[in-house]
Amino acid sequence: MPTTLRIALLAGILALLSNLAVVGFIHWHTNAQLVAAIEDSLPIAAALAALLGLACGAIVAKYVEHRIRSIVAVTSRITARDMSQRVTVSTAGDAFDRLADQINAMLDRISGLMEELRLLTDSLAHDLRSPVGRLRSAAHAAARTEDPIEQEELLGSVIRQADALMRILTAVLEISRSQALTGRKQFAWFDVVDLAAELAEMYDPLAEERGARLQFERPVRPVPLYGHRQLLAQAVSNLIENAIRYGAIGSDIRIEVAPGERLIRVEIGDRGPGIPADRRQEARKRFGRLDSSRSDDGAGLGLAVAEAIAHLHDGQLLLEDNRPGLLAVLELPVQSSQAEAA
Amino acid sequence: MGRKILVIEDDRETASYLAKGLDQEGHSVEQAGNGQDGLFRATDGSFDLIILDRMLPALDGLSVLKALRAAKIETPVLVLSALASVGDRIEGLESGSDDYLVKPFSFAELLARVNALLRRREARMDPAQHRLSVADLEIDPLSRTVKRAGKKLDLKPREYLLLEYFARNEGRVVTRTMLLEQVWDYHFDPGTNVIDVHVSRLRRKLDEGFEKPLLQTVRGAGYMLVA
Repeated sequence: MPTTLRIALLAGILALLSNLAVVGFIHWHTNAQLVAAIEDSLPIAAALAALLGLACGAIVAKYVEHRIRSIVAVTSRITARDMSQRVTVSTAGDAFDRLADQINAMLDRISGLMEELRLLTDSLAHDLRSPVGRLRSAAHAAARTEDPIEQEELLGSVIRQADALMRILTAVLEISRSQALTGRKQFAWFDVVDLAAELAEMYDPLAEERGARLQFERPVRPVPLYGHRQLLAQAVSNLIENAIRYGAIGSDIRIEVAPGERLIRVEIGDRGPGIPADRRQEARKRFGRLDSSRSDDGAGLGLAVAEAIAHLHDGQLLLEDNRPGLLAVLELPVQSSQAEAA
Repeated sequence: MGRKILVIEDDRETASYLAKGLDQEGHSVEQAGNGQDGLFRATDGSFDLIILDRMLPALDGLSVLKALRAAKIETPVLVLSALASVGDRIEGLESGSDDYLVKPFSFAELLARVNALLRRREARMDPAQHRLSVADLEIDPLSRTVKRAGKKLDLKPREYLLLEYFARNEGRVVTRTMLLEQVWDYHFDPGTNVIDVHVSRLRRKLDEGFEKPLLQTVRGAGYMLVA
C-alpha cells in the first residue's frame, strides 16, 4: 500500500478512536444524556481531530518533500558527462516510485541514445575515411595522368566512389528518419505477400547470376499489413541482397511470409556461414560489418536500415540460426499501435 | 527541337549549371531565384517543363507546386531536392510533381529525365499511340505481345514492361533509377546491379540472333533503345 495512503488511513482510525474515547469517558444513562454527552464532547473531538489532521498532514508533507527532494537531488547531479545517476526506487510502490521508475527509464533511454549518437559519429568519421581516401587518390591520379583512357577510367572511379558515399549518407538519413517516426503518415494497407512476390521476382535473376536459387512459396491468402510499402520493400530487399551477397554459392535462399493473428513474419533464410549468436547484436549496429576488410559498397548499413524500418512499424529484426546459415526475420505487427491511434 | 524550360532554383551555382547544360541541348531556359518569382513566371503556362527546387526562399517548392496545380497549370514539373529519404521522395511525388530527382545528380541523369518528361507531354498530345514500333520491333500494349522481324518474343511480364518503357522513350537515354522508379515503382537505391541483370536478360531475348542490336548501353548514364 502506498505510504501516503497508509498515513491517511492511520489518521482516520485515530480520529475515530479519539471521538469514541471522548464519548466513552462520560457516563450516560438516558438518550438525552447520550445526546448531551455527544454535544459536550463534540468540540473536544473536533479539536482532537483537527490536531491529528494537522499532525498527519505535516507528516505527509514532510514525506512528500523528502521523496521529491531525493529525486531532485539525483536529477540535478545528472550532467552531459555523467548520466550514470539513477533515482532510488523504494519498496512502497506508490506514485513516487512510479515517477522514479519513469525518470530512470527516461534516463536509460537518453543515455542509450547518447551512446548511439556517439558511436554513430565515431563510425561515420571512421568509416567515411576510407571511401573518401579512395576518392581522393583516384582524383589525384586522374589529375596527374597524361593518358586520356586512363584518366577517363579514374574519373569514372571518382564518380563511383562519390555515389557510394552518397548511398552511405542516404542510408544514415533513412535510419534517422525511421527513428523519428516521420514515415508513419505515409502508412497504408497493403498485401505483404504481393510485396514479397514482387521482390522475389526482382531479385531472382541477380541471385541466379551469383549462383544461388531464390525460393518463394506464395501463400494462398493475401497477408494485409498497415505500413509503409516503400520502406518495407527497402528493408526486405536489403535482407535479400545480404543473403545473395553472403549466402553460399549454389545454395537456396528462401523467402517466406508467415501470417499470424497479430504478428507477421517475413523470413529470408540463406545457407551461408551465418552469424554466430554472440555477434548478431554487433551485426545490426550501424556500420557493423563483421568483416571490416570487406570493401564492397554494402557498407554494412543494410541490416541497420532494415532494423530501423522494423522499429518504425513497432516490429523488430530478428537474426536467427537457419541451421546452417542466417535466418533474417522481420517481425511486424499487422497494425502498429501508434499508427492505430493516429 | 528546343523547348522552353523554367528553372526555379535559389542556388546560383546549380541554376547556372542547369541553364548552361540545357542551353547546350538546344532548350531555352528561364531562371527564377525564389518560389514567388517562380510561381509568377510559371502561371502564364507557356513552359514545356518546370525544374523546381524543393527548398526555396519566400515560398517552398512543394507550395509552388500546389499553387500551380490549383491554378490548373499542368506543365510537367521535375522536383530537385537534397531530401533523399524514401519518405521524402514519396512526399515529393504525391504532391503533384511528375518526377523527383535527388541532389547531387549527374547531368546525364537530369537530362534523361527532362527528355522523358518532354516526350511524355508529346505523347499525351498525340493520342492513338496504341501500337509502338522501333525498327523491326512491334509492340502491342493491349495484348502485351512483342514481335521482332515478325517473330513473336517470349517475354516475362516484367520484361515486357521494361521493353515498353524503353520503346516509349526510343532514342533517349533511360537511367537505372528511372527504370527502378517507373517499371518497378520503387524509390530506394539498391546496393546491387539488380536492374542491369534484368536489362541484360531482356537484351538477350531481344537482340540475340539479330544483326542489329536495338538495346544499347550508354556509358556512365544508362540504356537506350535505338532504331
